[in-house]
Amino acid sequence: MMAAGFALFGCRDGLFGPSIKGKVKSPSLSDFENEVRLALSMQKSGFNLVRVPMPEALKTPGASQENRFGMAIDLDSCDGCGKCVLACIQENNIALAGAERAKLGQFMHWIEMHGGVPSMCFHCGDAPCEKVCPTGAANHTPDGISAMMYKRCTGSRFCGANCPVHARKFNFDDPVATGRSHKFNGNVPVRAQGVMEKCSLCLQRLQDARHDFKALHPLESWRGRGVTTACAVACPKNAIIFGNWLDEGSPLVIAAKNRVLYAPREVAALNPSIVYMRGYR
Amino acid sequence: MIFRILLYAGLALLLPGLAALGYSLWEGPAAWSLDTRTFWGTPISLFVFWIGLAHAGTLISAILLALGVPLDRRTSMLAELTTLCALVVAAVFPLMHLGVIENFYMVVPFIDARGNFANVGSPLVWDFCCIAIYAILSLVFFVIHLLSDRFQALEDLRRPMAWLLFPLVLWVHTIVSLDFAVTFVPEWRGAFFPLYFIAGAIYSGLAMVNVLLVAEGCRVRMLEKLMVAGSFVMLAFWGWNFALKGDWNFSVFAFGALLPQLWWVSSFRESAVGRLLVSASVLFGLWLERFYLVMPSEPQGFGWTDMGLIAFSLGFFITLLVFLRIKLRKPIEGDVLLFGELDEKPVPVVEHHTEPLTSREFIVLRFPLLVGVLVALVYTLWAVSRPAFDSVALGVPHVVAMFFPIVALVAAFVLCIRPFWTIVPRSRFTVLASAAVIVVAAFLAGMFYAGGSSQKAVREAGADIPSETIFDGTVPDSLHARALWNARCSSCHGTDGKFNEKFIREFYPVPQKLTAARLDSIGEDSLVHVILNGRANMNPYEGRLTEADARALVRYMRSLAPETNDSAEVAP
Amino acid sequence: MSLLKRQGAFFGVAPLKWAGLVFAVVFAFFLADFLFCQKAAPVRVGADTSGPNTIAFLHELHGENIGLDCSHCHTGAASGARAYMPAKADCMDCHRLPLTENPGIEKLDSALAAAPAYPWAHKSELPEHVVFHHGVHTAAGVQCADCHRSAGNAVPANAGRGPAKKNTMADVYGGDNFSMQSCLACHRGETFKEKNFRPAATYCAACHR
Repeated sequence: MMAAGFALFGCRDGLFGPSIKGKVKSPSLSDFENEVRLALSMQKSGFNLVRVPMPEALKTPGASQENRFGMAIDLDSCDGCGKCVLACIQENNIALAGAERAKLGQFMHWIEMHGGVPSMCFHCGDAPCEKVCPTGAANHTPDGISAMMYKRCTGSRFCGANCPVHARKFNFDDPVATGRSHKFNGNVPVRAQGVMEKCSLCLQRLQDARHDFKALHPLESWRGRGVTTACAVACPKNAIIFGNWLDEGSPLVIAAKNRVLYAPREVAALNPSIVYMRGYR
Repeated sequence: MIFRILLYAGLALLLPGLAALGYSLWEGPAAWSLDTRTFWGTPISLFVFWIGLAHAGTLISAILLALGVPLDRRTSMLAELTTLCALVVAAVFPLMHLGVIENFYMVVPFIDARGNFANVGSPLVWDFCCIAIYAILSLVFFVIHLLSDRFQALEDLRRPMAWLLFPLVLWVHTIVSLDFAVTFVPEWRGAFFPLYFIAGAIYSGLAMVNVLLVAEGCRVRMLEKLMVAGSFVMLAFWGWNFALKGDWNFSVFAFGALLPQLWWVSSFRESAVGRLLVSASVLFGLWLERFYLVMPSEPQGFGWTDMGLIAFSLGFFITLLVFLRIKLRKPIEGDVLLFGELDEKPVPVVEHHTEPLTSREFIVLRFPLLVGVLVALVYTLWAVSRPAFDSVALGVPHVVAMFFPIVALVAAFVLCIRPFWTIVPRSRFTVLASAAVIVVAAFLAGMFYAGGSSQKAVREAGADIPSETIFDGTVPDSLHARALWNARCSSCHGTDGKFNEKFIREFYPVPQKLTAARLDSIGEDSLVHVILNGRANMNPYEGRLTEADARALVRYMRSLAPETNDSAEVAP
Repeated sequence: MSLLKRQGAFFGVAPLKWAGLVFAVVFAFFLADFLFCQKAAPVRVGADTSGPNTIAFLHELHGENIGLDCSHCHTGAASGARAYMPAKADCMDCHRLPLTENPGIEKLDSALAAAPAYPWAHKSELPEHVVFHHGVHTAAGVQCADCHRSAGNAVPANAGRGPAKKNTMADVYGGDNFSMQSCLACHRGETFKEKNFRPAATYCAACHR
């Protein structure tokens, strides 16, 4: 019975063939740009922000005392242009939402504007999503990234239900088969139908940098210098700063030292790694 | 007769329901009403509803048995049958609602060939284990009851089993409620959720049994009174919910608490149709309550697929139940056909007061419980010590949720071995059959161990052309230069800078001596040029090494060079 | 209750039959694992060795016995992510001269001269979501032979592992079977204990994307 279940349930594609046969047209860059504009016009209102202290090392067992990656978004500089959203789409091969969902304001973008301010998964140190994932696909790296392992995801959507800021996106349909996906970046896999996805803090860039460093300097500790996220690069005002909270020389720490740090009320108590900056101390 | 009507009704609901189920499996979670904010929809609400019914069936049968309340055999068998059928229906939904169904084996906290482990702190993992164990034990309980009028040994087994099942039901339904209560969703907050869910389950279970009794053509007043009492308990919970969160749903109140009060009207109460209406109203109200609970914010649209899934669940349940009821007519009804009201005059209790811990049930259960506790302890400690949790703050408290179900399973197994062993005829067939069952179970366990297969790479087979090296102008350090030297240069020049004795002379001419004086006289830039452009017996490395690589090699080579002018082999 | 007791029987069944059942249970478990597991075995494709004028490449001629390091030809293995199959230029580094007086050497040299710039293709079976970097492992002190067991190469008879075995297939080096379990076992320190490797990353995102 189990074997029949495997065979029957297991291949949505395999048993009956993929839903669209033949060559599927891949969307163009302008499709994505239009969708970003649409998303900006339909953006939700901003979060209630509360003050948070500067993030420190994680408290979990085996947490790195040298690396905790995160970002700070400068609210005094950000003007809500949305270039970070498009850059993230291109870096991570994010799919279009499709006409029906777009009309309802439901997009697959990992960065969403709330009241003119970009927000994404805050990579909480005490993440509620990771606690409830049944398979362990949502887990936390020792250096502070809330990672999502697509191949381990069984699509229960428990993590998405438990995110207080609804930062997680679910692939209701197969992005490739429905012609909504363009593989901009060969380093990032396109997600299959049925898995959750969210901001990965450009994990692929961090992995490549760490590997290159360790191949050359195996005895030194890697602090993540020189790596930055796609959204941080794209921001014309340099409002997004990526870095290592535990590295005194990281641009993140240097920028955030004298600023007042905020986080949305819903995640402030969960030890977020991504914070907002406003004003000076 | 009534059963045939019910069977046709069930099939009429089941067949279109199967179409909806097939479409949902084909299309995936986009098929039913979900969106990017509401991740759990109709299938989960159906799951909670039917699991509640399943729990109630055993609750009614086992609790009343454990507490010594007399209930006729037919009613309690109906309740247990309800449990089994509802469980089968309920089990479909957590599977079909998954985004990637073939990965469902990852939820099982069992050894895994890849070295992974399920996240035992997640309520869904607890759910899977608890419901699976509950299904097994309910089946065993039902089979014992079915055969108990023929074998006294099995009849003696019923009360101890009931004492195992009674807390198990409460435990498992608590865990189902925790699926919701541990989250951050505002509508799902509440430490009272376990009690709330259990009360709802009992209430709907009573209603379902009453519906079935109407179909059977008899009534049990005690169960009806309990149902009406349940309506007040649920009203209290709904009031508390409103006071706490401001959630109030009129249709749930109307169907679940208001309309059932018609039972007080004697014309409703005494007529079968009236009783049916009251019980059906309870069931509908409670299903609505589950529906609004799971989807607090209305998703994009409640469509045909959702209705199809509801029809599927109802049709499947009715079909299965009626089919089994017809097939098992003899054991259920026994030799005495009961029509009309059951005589419920309280029978004088024959049992005398027994000291706690000296009752017969406890003495029978002592040893199985001990074995169960030991096995559960071993499992708990083993699960928490898995290396997959080295970087997660997961401890024994997270695994406690699975403790009692494991105790119950092992205890029930140990308890039942002896009576079943004496009863089962020792024919060749039964021996082979039981051996075959065990072997198949092991095979299934092996399938879970192996897990799914990985998708192979999509990279085409093609010529391997190295991409850019990682050096972008900065000179690599000596550690890397040494690795590069040992890789590319040592085949002729040797790891020590002299020459590689295994290759040189026998196969290849001896290279130049790389003494310090010689290298210094040539100079670093010229040496880099030699590496990149080649020399007498050395191919050019341009395009295979960057200039930074070459420079690092030169510096490393210089560091290998002996300072003195030894006389060694002279280059030809 | 009296149970049937035959001479030395448990629950009325002979011990041999119990042993048979236990064996069947264990066998079924591992049979299922064997049938359903998926291991990645790299396959080497290309360099057609079937024609009369082609010469097969033999690792045992090129390895330890002439002091050639693996990364001389598989140039990426020292510090790169992928190890690469050799380009013709890598072969010509040594084969620019006739290396022996064997009669076959002319055939070899003419074959090499006629070969394309990249004679071998490589079809890796490593899944897309796995990130493996050779250079990190080399830098950590892992030898090529630790993972790519030298079945094709001539392991010296005094290595204490029995006579050198020759791979009868088309010289696929090692004929290895990689699985996540084998990687994790070393990363968790359960295998290769004698090598004293530094603790390796065991969290998912270290190797998966």
